[in-house]
Amino acid sequence: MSDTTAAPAPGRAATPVASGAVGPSDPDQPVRPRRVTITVEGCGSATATTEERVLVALERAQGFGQLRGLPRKLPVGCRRGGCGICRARVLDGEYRITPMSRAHVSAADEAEGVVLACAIYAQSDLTLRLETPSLGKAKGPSAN
Amino acid sequence: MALTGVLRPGFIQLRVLDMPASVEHYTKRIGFHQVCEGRDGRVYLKAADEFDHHSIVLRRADSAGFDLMAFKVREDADLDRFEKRIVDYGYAVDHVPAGEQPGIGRRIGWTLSSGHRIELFAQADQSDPKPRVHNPDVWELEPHGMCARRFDHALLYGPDIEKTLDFFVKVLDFECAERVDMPDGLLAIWLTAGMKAHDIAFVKYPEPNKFHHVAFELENWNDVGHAADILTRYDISVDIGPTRHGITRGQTIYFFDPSGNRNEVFAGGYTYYPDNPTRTWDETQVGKGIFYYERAMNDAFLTVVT
Repeated sequence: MSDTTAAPAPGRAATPVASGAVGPSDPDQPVRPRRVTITVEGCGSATATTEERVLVALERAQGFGQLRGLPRKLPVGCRRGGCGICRARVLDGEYRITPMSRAHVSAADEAEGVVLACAIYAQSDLTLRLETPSLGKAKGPSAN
Repeated sequence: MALTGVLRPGFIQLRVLDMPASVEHYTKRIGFHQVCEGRDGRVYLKAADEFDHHSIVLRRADSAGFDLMAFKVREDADLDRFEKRIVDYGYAVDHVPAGEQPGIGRRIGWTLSSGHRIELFAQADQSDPKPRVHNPDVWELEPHGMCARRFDHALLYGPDIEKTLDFFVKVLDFECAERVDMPDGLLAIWLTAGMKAHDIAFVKYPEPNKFHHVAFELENWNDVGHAADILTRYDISVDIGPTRHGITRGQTIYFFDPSGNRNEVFAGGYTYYPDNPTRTWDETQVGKGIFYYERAMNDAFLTVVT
């Protein structure tokens, strides 16, 4: 499944997100998704689009030398909502969510704005705080 | 007939967050075929070069990761013999009736000290597509996607792998082909039931029952390159590669399925004979052992699991 066909799910935002900015139309026509700014608390900001995973935008920004305030390499794992390494808390802004492992983000976490940065798509400017888990520590009830 | 007892990996059952996306990944991209869907929603997959009913089972769940891995034994009576040895070792054994998974006979199962459920079974129906046995072509149905030929092995993460090593060697008659010993103790083991460099491997990790990767075998290094093209074309999340392992010598790519479960496609690897000595690695060269060209582990190798 490509990023652009991820099933939309409601995020914290009250406004349902209109999808369809990118679709299986003419592949030779350049797509111009909406640009937004992702601010990582205390670390700087990155430019993203509404049609890409927030974590992927942060990876690109770090590669371009942005996010200079990050104390170390951005925690990047599976990029598909399974491993929990990119756990973060959204402090402000709207986003949509694709599936995230409940072993790492509980329903209560999700209601508070805790996410896996790889599994959300910004729908407005976002401010978030990285909450990287420590190695091997369970983040919540192990869901099966 | 030299191979007796445990023959080889049979199937693995994984948890996925999004079933349609997962089926598309494992069939269209990896190159497997869907055999059937069970009444409980589990989906059964196989490679066209495998005879048995299925080798991958996907189960929709709220968390990604590992449910179980099952090995095939030579004959039904092996199940009773191994049950006695496993119970004598101290693990409780339970019984799964024939048909709990379509096409698979009765199974015995238990949980390792690493937290992983392992099963044995002796009987599997065959399913299509499968190789012909009389005047066979190199393939009956032309390969697609990454052209994976079989489910080959898995790498699992959990505590107390010293006991897991002891158990696999003493009770299941596996051999340890390679191991990594760090100053603070055993870090990793590669175990084989037959003549491959590994059928299952374990790395020490504080949390039990964690999953590092499931591996699919490709025919050659060119196919590893073709797999890399597919990963970029379909924007699949890549961990590392194409590269090579010093340990097992496999030419490899690590990447992730749509639920974040790590996959490997690889080609090559040496032949292991049961009289071969165990190859050993220490902390000075372990980077080369894991990723031979980078000569260092990446950040994700010891930390990113489902």
